[in-house]
Formats: sequence, C-alpha cells, structure tokens
Amino acid sequence: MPAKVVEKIVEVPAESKKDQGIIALLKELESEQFEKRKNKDSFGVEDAQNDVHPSIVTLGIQMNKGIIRGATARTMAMLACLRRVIDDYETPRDQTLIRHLPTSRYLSHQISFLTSARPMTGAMLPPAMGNSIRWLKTEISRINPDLSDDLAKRHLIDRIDAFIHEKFTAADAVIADIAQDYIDVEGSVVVTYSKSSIVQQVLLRAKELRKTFRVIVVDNRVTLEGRNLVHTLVEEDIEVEYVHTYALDHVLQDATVCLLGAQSVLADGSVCARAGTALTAAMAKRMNLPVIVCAEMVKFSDRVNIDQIVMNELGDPDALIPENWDTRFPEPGHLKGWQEQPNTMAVSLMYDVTPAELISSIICEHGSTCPTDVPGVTAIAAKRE
Amino acid sequence: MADASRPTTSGSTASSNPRPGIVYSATGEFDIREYYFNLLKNDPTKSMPIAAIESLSALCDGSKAETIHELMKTIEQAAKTLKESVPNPVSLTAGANLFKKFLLQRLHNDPRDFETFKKTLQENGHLFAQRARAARNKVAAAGVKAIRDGSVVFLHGHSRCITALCLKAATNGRRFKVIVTQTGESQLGARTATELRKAGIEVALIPDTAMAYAMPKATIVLMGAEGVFANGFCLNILGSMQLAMAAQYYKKPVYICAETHKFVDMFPLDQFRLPVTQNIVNFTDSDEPAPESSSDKPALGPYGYVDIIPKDLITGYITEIGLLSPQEAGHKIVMMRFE
Repeated sequence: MPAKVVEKIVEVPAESKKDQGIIALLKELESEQFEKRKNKDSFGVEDAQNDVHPSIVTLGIQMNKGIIRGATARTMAMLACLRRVIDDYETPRDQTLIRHLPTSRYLSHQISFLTSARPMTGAMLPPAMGNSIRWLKTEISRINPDLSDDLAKRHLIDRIDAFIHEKFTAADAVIADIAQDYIDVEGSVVVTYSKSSIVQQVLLRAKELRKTFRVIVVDNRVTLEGRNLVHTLVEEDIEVEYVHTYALDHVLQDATVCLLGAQSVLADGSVCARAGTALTAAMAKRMNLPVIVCAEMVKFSDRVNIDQIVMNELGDPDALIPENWDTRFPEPGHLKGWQEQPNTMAVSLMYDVTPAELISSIICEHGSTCPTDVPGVTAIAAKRE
Repeated sequence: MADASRPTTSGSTASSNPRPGIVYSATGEFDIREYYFNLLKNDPTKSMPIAAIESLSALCDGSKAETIHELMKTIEQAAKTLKESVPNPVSLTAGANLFKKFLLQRLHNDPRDFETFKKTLQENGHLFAQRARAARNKVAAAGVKAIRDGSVVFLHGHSRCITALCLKAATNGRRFKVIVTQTGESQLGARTATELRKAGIEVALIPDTAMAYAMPKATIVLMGAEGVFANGFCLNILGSMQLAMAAQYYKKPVYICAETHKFVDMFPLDQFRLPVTQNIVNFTDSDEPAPESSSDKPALGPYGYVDIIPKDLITGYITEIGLLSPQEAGHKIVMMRFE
C-alpha cells in the first residue's frame, strides 16, 4: 500500500538517510581530502618530503592546481620530470642503481608525491601515468648491472625519449591519420566535447589534407577547456561553433560524426574522460552518429570501473556556483552560502565513464577497434613489449 | 608499347601506368585485371577473394623475381593495381590481404631457399581455391540448422552460399518456403528463385518495395555478404540494410552467411566510408539521367550497387568456423592484425 510506504520513509531518521550510497561515499572522499589538506588552504611545497625532486614538486603543484590538465599533458610532463630526476640522481655509496633507484626509497617516493598531489583519486594515478611508470621500472630492472651509473642514466634518458616519441608523438600521428578518414573531403560536421589534444590533432590533420568541415565544440561551465580548442581551430581557419551542453540536442541535428578524447580506456571498453563526455556520446548515439574515441595504447587500462566515483578527481566545488550569482540569480535558493549549510554539498567531479555500448570505435595506434576488442588488443600489445 | 622496354626492376614503373589493371615487372607486363575477370567469367561459382588470390599466385608463377623482397614488392603493386582497376575492391582486398599474410608467414621459414618457397607458393594458391569451395559447403552445413520445418526464409539478391544452404536443407528433407525480392535492376532475386524452384522449393518472388510488407510472413532472414568488416558490419547488395531494418521492426532474426575469407580489415562506420565508387544519390534539376562522373576510377553500375548493414541489425554470422556474433566476427578481424 502506498500509504504504508510513505509512513516507513518518514520513520527513517534524517541522519542515517543522509549518509547512504553515493552521498556517503562522497562524504568520505571529502573528509579524506580534508585530511590531505591538513587544515591548510592549499597544497604546496610544504607537503613534499625532503628528497622529492624540485621538478616533481613543481609538477605536483601544477597538477593539484589544475594548471596541467589532461592525461596526455600530465603523462608527458611527468616523463619529462622523471628524465630530470634520473639525470640528477646519484647512487648512495653502499647501493647499486638497479636496486636503489626504482624502490620506495627513491623513484616510488617521487611518484607517491604525485599521487598525493592529484586531488581525490584514492591511491592511484590515471592509467596513462601508471603504465608509463610501470614501463620505466621494467626498463630500470633490465639495465645491465655491469654498466657504469653514468651510462645507465644516459641509457634510461634515451629510453624515456624513445618512449615519449613512440607512445605519444608517433602514436598520435598514426591515430590522426586513421581518424581523419572519418571526416569527408567536404561537408562533414564534427562534434567534440571539451578539449582533447589528440582530437585537436585529428582536426588539424584533416585541415592539412584540405578538407572543408565544420566543428562543433561542446563545453561545460566548470573547466571551459573547449575554449582553448576553439582558439586553435579559429587560428587554423576552421569553421567552429561553440556551445555548452544544454544546446547539444540542437547542434547535433546536423552533425555527421562525434570525435572524443579519453583519459583512459577501461578493460570493458568503456571510456573515462572529462565529465560530460558520456552525455555527449549518449546524445550522439541517439542520433546514430558514429561515436569515435581516440586514445593512445598507453591509456588502456586493465581495470574496470563499477562506479564513477573511485578513480575520479574532485574539482573546485565553488566553480559550480557562478561568481556573479546575486546579480544573475536574484533568488539563489539553497546554493547561496552552501558551505555553511549542514545538509548541502557541492561536488564537481572531473571525469565520467562512457559505457562501451555508446562507442562505435576506439582508435589507437593499432587501428580502429570496437570497445569489445579492448581486452584482446591490450593483452597482445602487453605481450609484445 | 614503350613500357615494355622500361627499366626492369620489379614494381618500379607502376606509378606511370598508362592503362589500368596491368602490372609491369621484370617479366614484362601482366594484365592482372583481365586475368581476374577471366577467372570470374570462366567459373561462375568462384568468389571474388579467391579469384584475387589465384590471380596473384599466377603472377607469382610468371614472376622472375629472385628474392622474396622483390616478389613481395611485385605482389604489393599488383594488389594495388587490381584494387584500383575495379569500382568495388572490398572482397578482392580480403583475398589479397589473405594471400599477403600467407606469404609473410612463410617468409620466416627459410629466406634463403627461395626456389622451394616459390614452389610451395604455387601449390598453395590452388589449395586456397579448394579450401574456399569446401568452406562454402561447411557454411551451408552449419546454416542448415537455422532452417526449421515449416519456416519461411526471407532472401535478398543472390548468394552462392545461401543457395547451397537452401538446397542442402531441401535435400535434408526440411520443409520450408522462401520469399525472395527481385532485387533492383540486377534481378538477382529472380535468379535465386529459379535455382531454388528447380529443386522443388516453393518460392515467392516479390517486388523490392514489398520488403516490409512481406516481412511478417517470414521466420528468418538470410543474406550473403561481399565482405565482413572489423566493426562487425557487413557489405552486401543494395537494399540489404533496408531488409535488415524491416526484420528488426518485426523482430525476425537476421543471419549473414559468409566464409571467413571474406573477413577484411576495414572499419567503415557509415555508408559513405567505403572504398567503393558508386553514384546513387545525384541531385539534378533535369529529368535526363545524370551524366557519368568524370573521375578516373570506374563507378559501379546499378547492377553492382552495395550497402552496409550495421552490426546492431545483425543477429549473427554463419561461417565455416561456426556461428559468430557480430562482435566476435569483428574481434577475429582485429586480432588478425597481430598475427
């Protein structure tokens, strides 16, 4: 009976109701973040322990403040820093490089600083960074022990350079070449969400091939990263339309293809990307547009996400609340002074997971694949390394 | 012809080919296009990928290449020439890729013993053709189970695989009826109807426009394929997607019968992302037929028009290695890249 049900709900004490499910999880994350900040306003140099390399400290702070954003940029920046870390590394007198460098006493120590710098992820770095670090540690373990420290360091630095070239520069060029094929010589309308460096490269490649097409950049109010893409495209003389997510349905009417970037590709073929990507993909799929995700193999993860909270990142919640709030919204309702409200929380999640069913193709350096091929391709690529 | 006296390194002259379909190599010229079409004409049961394989192995037979590298280059060139000389190269690409992969795999055996290598190559080219024919029968054997007593099978166009399947079902004593569309200007459906009626199967030949109308009468839709792609889509005669859509509306299963040598590593996500030249949609303000397009590549005539069936509309692929879901079929193709 409906009346009984209502009675039951009323009986539940307000306290326990508040702390269930996602809310409870978020509360936990928030308190964890509070712990991490240790009552300080921001993350800074003080958070680093003594032997964290200055370049890593800088990178950590840049990541924490959102100055360096995006999986590709962060991973490449991290590799550049690690290159310097290795260059500056000196083996303690009673140690050998192979045994000392990769351990928690040195390299892992640097990494854990980066992990702590990234706001709210649990104890994990995104797959692109994690995979790169795993690769570096394997490289270190493969060093010939007879090599002098200087030569070993030289070798590692060369290997890092080669890795950046192979996994990012060359891979991106291959992906751009494959993906540009989904843009017609004339008349294509590409819809993309926020800014992805690889999608930008695809569009520039298509332009280079003298294709005439239009780009619709869909953006969100919080990060406004799409504006960077618009800026680049306009400079390259590409026709651009810039909208926010609420206009998606309107602009999708004449789109022909949806190109998306990714933070990581999960083992079940779903894709973790800037929050809002899933919405864009769902809307594009609804119009039966091809939804194409461009991602380098280094972003492929062997994990699966069951919810969207773990491995996510918390952005600045104040970014959700417009600054000039009082003039634009004379009656702000519950959000005004939300920090003081005991039962209100504002959460700005940075990533979301696009389910595999919405994706027509994931393009990596091994060519176009279906989301269902991801585990197979990852396994084979790992075997070849 | 001046080209006969051109420098005699294999494959180096092809960029300036004056005529389509001819490969110039150490042995002079070889009209691979004509050879290919002769194969298809002389044996109507031969499918395109197999004809491509046989043409390439004939080229190898005649080639005086002395190293594997030289031979590979000639083959690469020949495959490219052949692809460029036909408006719809999808299925012959499948064959050519298969042949190249076969060569590459054998390459590792013993690169020094080139003569033996060439010999095995010649033998295997013909083995391919035999296997292909066997594959078709296997597909038919696997697909027979799809036809149950009292069912009505909906067909479109003409497919050797499907015809073999229906005939096999009939000889196995299955009682079933067939609906087949006339299929556009090619009237291939009429050919299917004639062949099946000869075997005593009751066939209704319907106009294409009655596809959706007749669908409620059917229990299963069977179609052949020219090519199966890495995304699980497949290429077939024009109207196939329409039939699959009608089938989806009435919730009828759609099975595609295809041998695995038709699997090809392409990833077309829509109708126009194909290496096929066909001008179906022509905007014009006069009632005169649209003029021939001026591109160098020959365009498909109405007889050869094709379209793609998206994987969401396909229930499964019946192949000689068993029944595959569209995802599985696509996955097999993606995995072929790493072999």
